[in-house]
Formats: sequence, C-alpha cells, structure tokens
Amino acid sequence: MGKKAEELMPLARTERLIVEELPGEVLVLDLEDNKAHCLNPTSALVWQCCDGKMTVAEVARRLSRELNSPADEEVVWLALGQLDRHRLLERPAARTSRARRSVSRRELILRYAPAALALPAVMSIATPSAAQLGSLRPLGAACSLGIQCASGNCCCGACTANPCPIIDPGGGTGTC
Amino acid sequence: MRKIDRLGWAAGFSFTSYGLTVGVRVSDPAALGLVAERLPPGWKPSAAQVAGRLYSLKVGGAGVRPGLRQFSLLYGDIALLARSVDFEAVLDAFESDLKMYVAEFARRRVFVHAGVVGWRGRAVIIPGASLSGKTTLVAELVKAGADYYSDEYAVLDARGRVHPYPQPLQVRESREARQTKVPPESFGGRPGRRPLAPGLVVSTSYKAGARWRPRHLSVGHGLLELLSNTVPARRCPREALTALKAIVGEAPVIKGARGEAARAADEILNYLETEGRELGG
Repeated sequence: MGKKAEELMPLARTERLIVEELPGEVLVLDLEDNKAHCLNPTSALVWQCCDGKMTVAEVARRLSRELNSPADEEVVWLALGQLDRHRLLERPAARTSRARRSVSRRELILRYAPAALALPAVMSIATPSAAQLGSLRPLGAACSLGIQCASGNCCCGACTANPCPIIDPGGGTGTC
Repeated sequence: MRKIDRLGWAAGFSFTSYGLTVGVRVSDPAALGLVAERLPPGWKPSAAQVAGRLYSLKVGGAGVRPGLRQFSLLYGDIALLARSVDFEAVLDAFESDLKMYVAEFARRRVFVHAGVVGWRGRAVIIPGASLSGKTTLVAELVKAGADYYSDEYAVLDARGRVHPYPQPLQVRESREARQTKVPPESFGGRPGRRPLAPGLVVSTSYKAGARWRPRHLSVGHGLLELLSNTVPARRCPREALTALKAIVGEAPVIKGARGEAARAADEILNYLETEGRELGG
C-alpha cells in the first residue's frame, strides 16, 4: 500500500548547515541565518528522520522505541513545527487534518510527564558578529549608537562622556 | 587611501600578533612609544613592508593660532576610527580596534570573549559580554589564589587548551569611567604562563542580591553559551566549533546569576575543590 504524501516526513535542510553530533543532542550551525540551534534528543531524532520517505506514524513508533517511552504522532508534529520555525526543513511538513488539530505543548507536557518523555525542544542563539562582541568603545571612538560606547553616549559620530546637548527639549534628540 | 597617505607621516613600524601583520604610522615620532604601550600581549616587531591592517595616527594638539586645538585622528586602513582633541581617547580607540582585529582574524587561535584564571593546573573560563562583571570576578579569583590568564579573551587552540592573554586587568569604576589598567600582581596574583586544559566554564553575570545557585548545562547548551561569545563564530565557524567542542568535551559548564564577586569566587573555587575534584586537579 502506498504512503500518502501528507503523511510523509519532510526533507531536512542540508545546505549551508554545519551539523555536530553531541552526546544526546545535535548542534546545528546555520551559516545562512547566522544562528546556532541545539536540538534535544527528541527533536534530533525527528530531524534525522526527515528523509521524505518515512511516515509520521513510523517516526512516532521509532521515537517510542529509541527513547524508551511512548510517543504519538502529536509529538512528531510538534517537533516538525519547531524545526520548520527554525528553518531546518527544506519545506514545511504537509499537515493532515488530524495534525492540524492544535495540540498545545502544555497538553503534551501533561500527557507525557508520567512517561518522562522529553518533549521536542530547540534552543537557538544568533551567532554574534565580531563587532557585537567588541568591548564597548572608549571616549572619542567612532560610533553610530550610544550602546556601542562605554559611556552610553554617542554624539556627532564619536563616543562622548556626556549626552549631546538637547536643543529642543520637547524633541529629545541631541545635536552636534 | 591616497588622501590619508598625503596627511604627512613621520614614522612608523610593523609588528606581528597571533600570526597577523599590522602596520602603524604616526605624524609625530614622539607618539610611537605611546602607541607601543597599547599593543596586544605577545606582539613582536616585524620587518614586513605589507600589513594586513594599517593604522594611521595623526597627532593633534595646539593649532597655529592661539586658542585653537587640532583634533587627533585615527584611521584603520581607510576608515576614520576616532577623532578627538583628547589624544588618550584616540589611543584608547586604537587599542580597542586593534584588539578586535586580532581577536577576529588570529591564525590558529580562537578568541572567546571571556575572563580566564588557572586553578590547580586547569583553566576556569568565564564567558560574558562587556559589563557583565568578568573583570571583577577574575580579580576576586586572583585574590583568592588563582593564576591570572585574562580578563577579556580566552585564547583557545584547536585542542581546546587555553593560552594566556597577559594584559593588565582593565578595571572600570563605573560604566562611564575610562578603564584603568591594573597588573594582577597588585591583587597579590601572578600571571599564568603555560597553556591549560579547561577545567570549568562559568557563565554568569552580576545581579544585585542574587544567590549563587548555578545549574549544569548540557554539552549542547554549554556550546551555545560559548559560541555566543566567540569572536570568529561567523568568520570561521568550523575552527571555532572544533575548539569549543574540545572545551565542553572536557569541562563542565555551569550557569547562574551571581551576587558580590568575592562570594561568587569562593563558591566557584569550592565547587572546583569538591564537585570538580575528579577533573584532574
């Protein structure tokens, strides 16, 4: 019997990603969006199953087997939603009418807490640019925003000890 | 560049730092000594005629007419980096930009924005943003007997060993105040000299009244914590990941807000003495 397209897992994105397998987790560096994601074991397993061939039901069974805890298709759909939001899928998963029924994370937590199943979770950060990590700029250094300066004041393109004088108190903007 | 070339340069030199060649030229030879005081730790003079980055420093001062002062100017390649009548401020900008350049482009080293101390032959790495209290905590750890490695960058090699970045501590009395340089010896500490294997990563920032109750992070979350403070995270992500993986593969990562630095320093050292005993100390 053929598998229905809407029940098939989507394809995982592979382009412009660096993937590091860690004990129980997977770290994904997205070179396109300058983000880094840490997938917990449940998310990681679902992502690894995104091959366009397995069905959601098959993945749910595999989750149960490998994580030693009962898991149903709702868990897989929750993971797919997260992976999709973080742009880790080639295209969004097709949703069956059943999957479209919104099941909240809270509902799943209550359902799976006794089984100790770790619900899918993806933690993300933006990978910083070197400039973002530079120490705050000293007085006199060129700047475009106050937050770049140690003093917190950027006036006329340079970090200053005091804010720019305000010509129009109502307007509140400094001027050179 | 030609316009800047025409400003009239009287002296200059080049040097290497972490595999990079940098040139500096000044309009007044007397400024060279002051510039040299601002170079990164471990710099060496170089005879190279071509530099990866060229700083041009025009010294201001009294103008030709009485009561008129000229700006001091700093260019990094062709970009104007600073313009001030306060020459010290321009030197501060030079130092700050040079450090950032070296941290981003260093060869065979990965720079993580972090304080580092050595304790019983292992490195304690404290990653964090500016003004998160790294220097204060490092100073307290040094007072408590740790070796001083850095208050600004953890310099990592591909094996995850942490190298010293022996600049004086840069203590800031307040957010607005200019940093003052304080040698670790003034806290009764001594600078570390040899690269160390990682022993502990502490992600923390100051929060008034906070109790020190850190939680252990998983390897993946620990990696994210370090990555968010890694200077070349975008420029050479593979090299950065290699070094960071070596760190989190060997050292636990703990995270939590801290109160007063002296108290937190005691707690961290206690942790190393008790829970971290098996780390190889």
